[in-house]
Amino acid sequence: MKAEKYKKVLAFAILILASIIFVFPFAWILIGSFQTDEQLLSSPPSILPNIDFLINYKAVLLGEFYGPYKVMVPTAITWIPRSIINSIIVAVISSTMTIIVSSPLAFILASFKFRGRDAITFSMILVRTLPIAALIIPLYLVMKNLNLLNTYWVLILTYTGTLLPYGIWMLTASFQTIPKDITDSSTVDGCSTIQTLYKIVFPISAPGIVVTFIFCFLLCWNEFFVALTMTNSPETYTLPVVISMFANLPQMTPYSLMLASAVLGAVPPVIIVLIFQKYIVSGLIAGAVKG
Amino acid sequence: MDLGRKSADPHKNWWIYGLPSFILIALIFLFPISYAVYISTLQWRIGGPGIRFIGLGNYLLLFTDNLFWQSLRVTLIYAICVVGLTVLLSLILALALNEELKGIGIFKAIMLIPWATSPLISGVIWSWLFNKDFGVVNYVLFSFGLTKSGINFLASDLAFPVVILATLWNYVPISSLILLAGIKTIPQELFEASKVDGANAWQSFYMITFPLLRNYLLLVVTFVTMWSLRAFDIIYSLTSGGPGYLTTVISWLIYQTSFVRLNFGEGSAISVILALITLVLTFTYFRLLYKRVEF
Repeated sequence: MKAEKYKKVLAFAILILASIIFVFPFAWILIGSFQTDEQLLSSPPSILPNIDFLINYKAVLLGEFYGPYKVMVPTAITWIPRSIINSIIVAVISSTMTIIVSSPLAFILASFKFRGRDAITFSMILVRTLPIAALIIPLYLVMKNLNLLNTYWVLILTYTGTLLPYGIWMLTASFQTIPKDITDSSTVDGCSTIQTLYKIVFPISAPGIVVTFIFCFLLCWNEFFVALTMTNSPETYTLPVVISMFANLPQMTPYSLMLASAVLGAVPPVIIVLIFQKYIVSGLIAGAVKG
Repeated sequence: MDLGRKSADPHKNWWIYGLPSFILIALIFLFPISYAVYISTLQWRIGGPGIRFIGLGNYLLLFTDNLFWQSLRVTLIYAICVVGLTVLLSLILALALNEELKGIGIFKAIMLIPWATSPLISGVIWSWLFNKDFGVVNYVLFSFGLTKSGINFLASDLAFPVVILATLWNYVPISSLILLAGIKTIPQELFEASKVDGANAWQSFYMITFPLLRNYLLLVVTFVTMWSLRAFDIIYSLTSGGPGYLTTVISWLIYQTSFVRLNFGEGSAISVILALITLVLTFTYFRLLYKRVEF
């Protein structure tokens, strides 16, 4: 019994320590984002926010620059608001398209046995593991020839393509939980397979579809490599690309504005993940581990 | 009247339902990877002499290129460190999470924060923490009298450990949640039975938890290997491959070769090698993963 108690204390200590390590870096930039450069760069570091604690967010989002930034500010910072809109547009369309394109295949994979079914599932997994860096030159050339470089479409197409294996995998796992009687009876009632999918399967597996959408949205929102190589104007830059432009400036990094931008990039995924936390892990391992 | 439905009979014509997916996957994966193999046999540098076929020329060039070997070495060491440490740390955390403590929900929620943060932003965060002049790490070291003027972590040999640390921050929490999900699938009776048989904590871990967790461990290993082989974002925002070429991972080299030095031929050759490494590893992992667990 005593050993049991020690075990619990040890576990608790480990968890507290781990939580501090996991939260601190994030909390630290959050605190920093509420300070002006003057406060931020002072020693010893202070954790008090500026009186106007949203001052950096006003600067980054509304263009209300303060202090030295009134005179000079890296151009990239003025692109932040537009890039947030771009990120949202691209992520929403790509995630929606992923679900539309992958659901018929997922439904077939989940409901019917046919030759080649396992081969498809396996090749999806295999394809999923290919690093995008290995494909980037040909992709770039293809998109260039299609005249799509520097448009939303280049990102939407690439993202939808790279997300498809995820979508198929997650949706198949979700559709498999639907009792076969339900889909069978709707087919008897004269629904075509596609009608069954949209009228019966979609409403029943709404949670699974929402989780898949959330997953795709997160991956798009955080995607950097493709956006970096395929776009080259503020009209199409996504938020990560703009952040990367002034995060690593050799001189005069606008620290407080950088921290505020990093927070803007990190907070939406964090909030989404916390809301849907129940489903995230099961979504990640869906179909991958059997029992 | 039924013709339309008949042609869509899913048993025979399942491929119709997959067609949109197959087209997109061909466009985004299959065609590019084949095309990359082709380009890798060309001499193709923007601004250089014209495009011409040179067979394995790019590969031969790479094999004598120190930078290529350096980046391969960096990538492998990085992947091994990240995978090994992630498995070890996340296993410890998963076991701790498995103790039914009060407020466990908060811990689990906290675990998701680093994972939701993209590696690019994670790089921004950690470069701020390790900033030479204003970073909190240097402030702490300074307060304890361990440094006078601040250590320039990211411009020294310490850059590599910092990159590993930042990567672990991203991947350990989610891995521990995956392993926790695995631990939860182990029937509790097994532990009770082993206790009756007089097994100690280590024995019951080694004899029960570990073997039954095998698939989940392999899944974590697979995920983290894939993630670390494609590491790019975190390098971009944390070290830009430096100092020197200390943190030049292979994706970074592909980017530099193809889009900075504009050498498509050589860039493609590196891409093909990276794809091969990834495919071989994936194949191995999945052979292991889909072998049934035997009691």
